[in-house]
Amino acid sequence: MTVRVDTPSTLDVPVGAPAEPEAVKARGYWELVFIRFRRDRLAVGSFGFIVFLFAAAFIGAPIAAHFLGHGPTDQFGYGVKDFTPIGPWAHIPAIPYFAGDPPPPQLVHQYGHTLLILGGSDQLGRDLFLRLLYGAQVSLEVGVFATFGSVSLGVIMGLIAGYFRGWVDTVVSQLINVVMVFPYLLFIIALQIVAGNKLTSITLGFLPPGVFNLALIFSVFGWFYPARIMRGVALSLREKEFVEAARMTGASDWRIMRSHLLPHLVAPIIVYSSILVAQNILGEAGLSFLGLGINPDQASWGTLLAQAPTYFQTDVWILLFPGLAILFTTIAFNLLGDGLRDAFDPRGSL
Amino acid sequence: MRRKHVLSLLMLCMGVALLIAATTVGVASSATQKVSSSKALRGGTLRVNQSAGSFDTLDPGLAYVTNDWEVLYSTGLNLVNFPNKAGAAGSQLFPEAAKSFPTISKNGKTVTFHLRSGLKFNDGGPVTAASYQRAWERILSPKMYAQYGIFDQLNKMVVGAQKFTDGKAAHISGISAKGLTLTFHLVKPNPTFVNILGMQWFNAVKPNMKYTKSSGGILKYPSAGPYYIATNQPGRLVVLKRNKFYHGSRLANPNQIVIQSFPNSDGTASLLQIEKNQVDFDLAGVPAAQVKTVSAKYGGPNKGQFHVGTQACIIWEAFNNAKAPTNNANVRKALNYAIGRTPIISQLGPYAGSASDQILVKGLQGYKKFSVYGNFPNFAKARTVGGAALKAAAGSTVNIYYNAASQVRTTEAEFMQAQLQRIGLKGNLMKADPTDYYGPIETKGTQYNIAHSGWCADYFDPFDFINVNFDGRSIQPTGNVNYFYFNSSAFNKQMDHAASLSGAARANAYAALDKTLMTQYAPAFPLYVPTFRYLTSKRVKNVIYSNYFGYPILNAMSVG
Repeated sequence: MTVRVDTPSTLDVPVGAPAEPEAVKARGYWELVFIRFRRDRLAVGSFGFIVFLFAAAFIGAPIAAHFLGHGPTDQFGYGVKDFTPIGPWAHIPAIPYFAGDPPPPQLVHQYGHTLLILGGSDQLGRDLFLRLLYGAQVSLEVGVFATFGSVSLGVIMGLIAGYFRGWVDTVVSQLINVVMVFPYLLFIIALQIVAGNKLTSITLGFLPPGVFNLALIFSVFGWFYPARIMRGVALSLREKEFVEAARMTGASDWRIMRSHLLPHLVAPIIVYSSILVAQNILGEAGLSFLGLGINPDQASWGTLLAQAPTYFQTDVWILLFPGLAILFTTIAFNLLGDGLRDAFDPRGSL
Repeated sequence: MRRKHVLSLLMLCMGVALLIAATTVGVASSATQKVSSSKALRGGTLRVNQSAGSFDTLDPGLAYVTNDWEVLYSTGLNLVNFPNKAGAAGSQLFPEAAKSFPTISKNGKTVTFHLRSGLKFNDGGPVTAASYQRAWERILSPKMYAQYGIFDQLNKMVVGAQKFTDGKAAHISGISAKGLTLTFHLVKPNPTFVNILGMQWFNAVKPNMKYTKSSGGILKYPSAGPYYIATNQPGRLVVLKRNKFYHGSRLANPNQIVIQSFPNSDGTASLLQIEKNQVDFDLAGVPAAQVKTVSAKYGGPNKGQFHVGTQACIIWEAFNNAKAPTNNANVRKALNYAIGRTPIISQLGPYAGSASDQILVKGLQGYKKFSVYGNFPNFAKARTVGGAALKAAAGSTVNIYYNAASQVRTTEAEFMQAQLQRIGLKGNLMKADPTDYYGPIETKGTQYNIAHSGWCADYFDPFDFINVNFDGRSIQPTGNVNYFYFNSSAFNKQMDHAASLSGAARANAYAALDKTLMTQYAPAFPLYVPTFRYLTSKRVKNVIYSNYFGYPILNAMSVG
């Protein structure tokens, strides 16, 4: 018997064996998202870079400090030569202050030598490579915590406004308008002058000084955009049959919001969060550059950049390394967000 | 999808390219330039920047910071003043509004000035003896934001001044103003009295110039010097215009002087503007990190556009003697050993100045060079001297107050923070408001422990460096020059005694006080005697540097 060639499902069926239709594999929503995401190589690469970045910042930094024998805040007087920071890969006396040129032998004997590898030193002779790694911790912490704060606030406000509508919606929408037009940079400058030193000292026991401060500011002034997105989604979802059904079964408003609406918001939350992390990292860099963010003794990409203009004519690496770190990280987060958006909703835009 | 990837990579490349461009754009070289001529010409606009700071106030009754006085010198008319001359000659007073130096009575207690006739404010009003009487009253009145005259003990100098200072009299009875004759009745003879009148507090002001409780003072007012303040936007812009009624010997070369303040800039941008002749001069000088490059580019100091001038100043890190742990003398001494002077100076670039751990500076009566603490950190000695007090303070927070807009000050603060850690203290960086640096530390109860500041001569006398700053009896709720909040009854008595002496005895007494202050009390961390390193644009001519003001004289600069 000749096998029909126009039936692909029968091609690999041995002749004589009973033909069975291929089982249709049911794929869940998240599996489909994962498959689509996996196809986007740039997004996967960006995700890999972000994972690497977190690993380098939180695992690699202490390991590097251990092997180099000094920390990111250790100052070396001989890390600055002729009033300018020295370049990469330099063996210098580990004396913590400038004690004359040449360095006194007894101090060299006492403190030994140390090695500054990639990046060289900054204006206080600190290891720029280590500061870049530890700075990544601070920048990522600000990015993640600020995103968590603003998205949480935005989701709550947007969900409430979209679900309840009426006067609640009006109040929340007007509040969004007020926050949108608020000159937050001026507010931050004023806040720093009035209470900056006190706010910076809040660490919650585990954060570096200044991180809470910035996360709070970015949350307070960054929630309006996610709120608008969530409100729009909630407005359309509240009219769907499954919400009506839930209401008919006697589910309370809070239960409907929590159990029926919120799961539908996960996709836009994830997509927007990934983009917002990048924005917040840039925000940290900008404010620290202006002297309004992280204290200069605390390494962050912003504080590293802040000292760069002084040396940009002589020691370009001081500007180049943190600049590149910020550039690659923000692009990675943006590409990840882009990839996730395509994965969650290949036909439209979230 | 493919198009998106290409676009992303394109954006990435653009980002990298922009970053590389940003790092290389400033490296453009320019050949060594020389000022073509030193011939002074009138006319044009002198464009001045002020990076990393702004004026506290330009009200002569409240101004007490060097940059404020730099401007007031161009706007004010004093009885006696400093001439537009370079070097030592520029620090010798000459009678300006006064016809001659005063006549002094035989007992030395009555000082009489006769004013020149025809002197006018920029609004055409006459300058009379009452103009100077009012200046005295404004510096001592309780109706002012601060009574800065008290720190110089003016209230004890003139008869009836204390009563006026206490608010018990409407005028100072010891100052008599009749037409163009001004008479001071002193409590006791004072050989430095005429020198004191050279201070910018004693600019002629209108007899009806108001008192003010605002720390910024009165922004605009008629003045009688070569220029007047035409615009004053605090923290931003000051415009000085030529006073057509001034016919004195001081120069008034530019038609106007425009001073823009950039409190949040470290001066790098300003330097580039000067190099491109878009700005003529920066009151903050050349940023420390650029001095070496600038000096090499312009052929070294004082050979062209790059200048270095000495200053009659001592830069110090003030300690708050009223707040733990710096309220303990042994802790303060330990800090003097631990911080290290040379390492900080080495961060300031070439020609920054010379290390010093004493209050008096060279050129002052009674100055005798000594060194108690050395110039390099000595942690072992610091721990020994700090003793039990330092051990008790271990782990406690030391607030380091600094100007975050200045890269140099930030670096300095971070360096001190590291040094403190080595003797068991925890340095906390405390950012200052760049538009009001001194206000918070001059307010009693301030929370700082260490603050960068310094002192320049009001007049060339040791009294001005020691009594003015360290007499604890003068501490007020606000506006404290003694922002160390140092108050020792024993030392107060010694200061009184030294001030009452004259000649060699006075010089010896002040030399001893200088040493006692640093060995026994260490109320501050004297750091160095500074220089002013600055660049002028190609079009600036007639640069006359004043050692007294520590700046080139604005009104003498020529851009015409």
